[in-house]
Amino acid sequence: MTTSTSSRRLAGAAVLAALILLPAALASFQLYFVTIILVYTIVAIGLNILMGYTGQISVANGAFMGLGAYTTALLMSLLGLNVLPALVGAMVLTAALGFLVGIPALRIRGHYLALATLAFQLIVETVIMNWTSLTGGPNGQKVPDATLGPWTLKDLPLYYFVLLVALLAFLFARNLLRSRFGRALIGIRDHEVAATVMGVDVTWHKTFAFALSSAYAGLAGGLFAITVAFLDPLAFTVWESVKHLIMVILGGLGTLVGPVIGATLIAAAPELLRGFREHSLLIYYALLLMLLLFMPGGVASGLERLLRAIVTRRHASIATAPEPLGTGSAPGAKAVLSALAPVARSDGKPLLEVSGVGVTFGGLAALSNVSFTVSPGEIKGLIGPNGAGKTSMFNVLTRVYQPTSGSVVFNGQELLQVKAHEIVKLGLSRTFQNVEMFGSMTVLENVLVGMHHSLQASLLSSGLALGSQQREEREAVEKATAILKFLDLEGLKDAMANQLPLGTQRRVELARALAAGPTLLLLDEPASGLTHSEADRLMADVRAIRDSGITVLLIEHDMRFVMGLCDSITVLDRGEVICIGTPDEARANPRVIEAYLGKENASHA
Amino acid sequence: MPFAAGRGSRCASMEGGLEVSTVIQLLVNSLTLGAIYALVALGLVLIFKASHLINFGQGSWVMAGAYIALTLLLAGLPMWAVLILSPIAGGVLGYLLDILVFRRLSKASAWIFVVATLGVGGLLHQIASAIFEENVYAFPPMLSTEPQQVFGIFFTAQNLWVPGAALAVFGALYLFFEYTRVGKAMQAVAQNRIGAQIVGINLQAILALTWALSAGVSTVAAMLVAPQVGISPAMGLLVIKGFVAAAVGGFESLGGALVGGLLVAVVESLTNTFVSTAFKDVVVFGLLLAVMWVRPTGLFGHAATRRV
Repeated sequence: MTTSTSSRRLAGAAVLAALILLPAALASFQLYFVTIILVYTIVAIGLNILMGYTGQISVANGAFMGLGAYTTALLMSLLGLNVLPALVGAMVLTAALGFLVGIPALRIRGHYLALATLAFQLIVETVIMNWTSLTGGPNGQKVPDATLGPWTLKDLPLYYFVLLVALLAFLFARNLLRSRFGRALIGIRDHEVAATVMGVDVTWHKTFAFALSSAYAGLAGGLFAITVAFLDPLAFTVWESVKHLIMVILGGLGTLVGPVIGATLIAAAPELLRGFREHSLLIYYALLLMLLLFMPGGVASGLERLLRAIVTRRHASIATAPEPLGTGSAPGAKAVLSALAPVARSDGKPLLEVSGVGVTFGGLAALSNVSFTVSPGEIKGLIGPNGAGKTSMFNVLTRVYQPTSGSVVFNGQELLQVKAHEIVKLGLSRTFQNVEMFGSMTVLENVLVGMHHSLQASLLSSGLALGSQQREEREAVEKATAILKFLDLEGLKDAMANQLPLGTQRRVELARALAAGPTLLLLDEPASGLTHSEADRLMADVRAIRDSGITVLLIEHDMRFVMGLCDSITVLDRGEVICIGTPDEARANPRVIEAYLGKENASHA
Repeated sequence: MPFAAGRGSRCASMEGGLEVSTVIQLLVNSLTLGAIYALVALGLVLIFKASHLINFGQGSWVMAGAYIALTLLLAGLPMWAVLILSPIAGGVLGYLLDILVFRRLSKASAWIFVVATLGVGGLLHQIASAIFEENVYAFPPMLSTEPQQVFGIFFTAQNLWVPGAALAVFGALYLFFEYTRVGKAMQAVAQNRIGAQIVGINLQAILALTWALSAGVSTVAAMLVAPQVGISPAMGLLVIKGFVAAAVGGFESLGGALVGGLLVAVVESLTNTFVSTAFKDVVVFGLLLAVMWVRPTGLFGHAATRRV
C-alpha cells in the first residue's frame, strides 16, 4: 500500500500547490467563487463525518450553517469582536446545539432521527426569519468587515485565510478518522452491538459526531458570512440542508476525499451549468436521484473501487488458497496474548460465577435460575438444544440483556452494575453467533477496534496527530499484526472484511476478540459453518489461546468439537441448567440425552 | 397568516379574553386547518404503514396535486370534474414515481430513502417553478365564503366543506381497508410483508397502489387548502406541519392522523391568538422535536422492539 499512500500524498500536495498559486490566474469575481467552494468543502467534510462515518442522518445542516453565519456576524457587529474569536464563538454555539440535537439520535434512528433534525431545522429557520430585531428578518443583514492583523479579509487575503482554515479542517478530520475514533464511528455504523461489546461508548460517540459536524457547519457558516458580507435567511433553509446532503452523497459517503469532490462539483455547478442557469437546481435533484439509484457510493467510491480492483487482484490469490494447517505456534503470539490480558485471580475461586440468573421476555422465560461457574484456565462448554438460552446467557454476560434476577460475579466483581461498553475493560470479550464483522473496514482495522478500550489517545491528540498518538497507533498495529499472525491472517490484513469467506471472517472475529485482551473469552458457535479441517484448526487455536493464559467459555453444537476440547460442560435446556460435569458425564446423563433426542432414547442410555 | 378561516375569524380577538365563545371560535377555526394537516398526515401514514418509511417530500406532493388541479381548471373543465379527476391524476403521478424511483430503492438503507424522498420533493418543486414560475394562482373555493353566525360563532360554508370533505376521505379509506379485498391486502402488507407475499399478495402492486393513494390524498388536501393560500411552488412548505400531525398521532393509523391533525391545528391556533403569530411555528415544530425526544412513535403508535 506504500505506493498508493505516497501517490496519494503527491496528489494532495499537487492540489494544494495549485490552490496556492490559483489567484494569479483568476479574476476577482472568480476568486470569490473559489472561496465559496472552499467554504462548502468544510461543510461537506463535517456532514460526511456524521452521515458517512457514523451513519446518522441530519436534515439540519443548513440551520447549523445559518447559526454559525449569524452568530459570527452578530458577535462582530454587536460585541465588536475580531473575526477569529467570533468564529470560535460560532463553533462553540453550534457544537453545543449539535450536541443537543444529537440526543434524540441515541434513542431513535433512521427516519425518526431525520424528523427530529427536520424539526430543529424548521425552528431555526423560523427564529431567524422572525427575530427581526436581532437578525434583520427577511431583509437580512450586512456583515461588518473582518480584519486580521494588518489585513482586511477581502479578495486575496480572504482567499488565503479561508484556504488555510479549510486545509486545517480537512487535516483534523482526516487524522481523527484514521485514529481509533474513526474506527469507532464506522463500527457504530456497521454493527452497533459489536462495537459496544468491543468497548465503544456508542452514546458518547454519536453525540460527539453530531457536535463535531455541527461545529464544522458553524465554522463554514461564519466564513460564508464574511465572504458574502451579507446575511440572507433564505440561504439557510431546508433546501440548503438538502444541497449539503447532495454534496456528501455525490462525492462519496465515508471517504476522505469524497466531501471535497462533492462540494466542489455542487458549488461549482452554477458556473459549470452556465447554459442551464435557470434550471440548475432541477438538474441537481435529477442528478441526486440518478446517484441514489445507480451509484449510491458516489464519485469517490467509484474511484476507490477502481483502485482496489487493481490492488486486491494481488491479494485475491491468497484469499482463495487452501488454509495452511499450522498450529498457530508463532512464538511471539503467546507472549502478545498474555501481555494483553488482565491478570486473573489466582486465589482458587472461580473466574466467573453465575448465580440464579433469570431473563424473561414478556411471558417467555429465556433463562430461569441458571447457575454455574467457570474456573480460571479451563475451557468450558455451554451446550444445549436450540432455544435453550445459550446465546441469551452470553448476552447477559456482555450486558446486552438485563436479567430480571440473579447475579454475575466476574474476577471478583459484580457485573450487573457495569455498563455494556465497559465490560471489555474488565477482561470479558466475545464473538457472535452470526459473525458481526465491521464489513466496511479492513481485517487489520477490525482487529484494531478490539483494542479500542486500551488505547488512551484523546480526541485532540488524535485530530492533531501528535507524536504520542502516532506512537500508540504504531504499537497497536504491531500487536494487532502479531495476533493476525497467530491466526495465519497476516497476509489478509488489508483485505476488506465483507469480501472474505465465512470461515475466514470467523477467524478475524476471533482475532478481534483476542485483541481486546480478555481474561475470559466467550465464543458463540465458533465452529458453525466451518469445514472439517477448519474446525480442527480452530480446536488447535483455542487450545493455544488457553495455553497463553486465557480462559474460554464456548457455545457449540458440534459434539466432536465440544468433547475434544472442553474440560467441563454446562448443559442448558429450555432456559434451565440440567447438567454440570465432564464431557463424558454429560454424554451419559439421561436428562441430556432426553433433551437432545427425546424421552424414549433416554431409557436406552 | 395564511390560514384565516374566512372572514368569520375576525372575532377571535383578544377582547373576549378567555371566554368560552372565544375558545369555541378558535376550535371552529382550527377545524379547517386541522382537516388539511390530517390529510397531509394521512398521506404520510399510508406510505409508512406499507413500507415503514417516511416520505419527506410529502409537502411537494401536495403542491404537485394543486398544480394538477390548476392545469385541469385552466384547461376549461368544470369544477366537479376537476374535483374528481385531479386526485386520480395525482394518483397516477404517485404510481409513476414509485415505479421510477422508490421501487428500486426498496432494499436500500434508511438514509438513502430519506434523501430520495427529499430529492423527489425537490425535483417536483423545481419542475413546478420551471413551468409555472413563482406566480401565485388563485383557486376558487368550493362553497360560499359568506360568514354565517350561529350562537355567536362565525363560520363560512367553506369552513364546513373542508373538514367535511376530509372526513369523507378518511371514512372512505377506512371502509376500503376494512371491507374490500385490496384494502385487506394492504393491511396484510403493512403487518407482515413476507407473510403477505407467501399467501399470494402481489407486493409490488400493493406498494404502487399505496403511493398512488398517498398522492391522491395529497391532491385532495391541495384542492381544499388552495382557495385560502393560492397555488405557488412554495405551497409545500405551508403544509409541512402535516409532519408534526403524523408524528403526534403516530405514523401507524388513520385515527392517529386525524387526531394529530386536529391537535396540531388547535395548538397552532391557540399559540397564534394568545402568544404571538411569530411564535406559533416555533411551538408547533418544537412539538415535533418533543415528540421525537419523548415518544417517537406518537400517541397511537407501537414502540418497536430491537432485535439483538
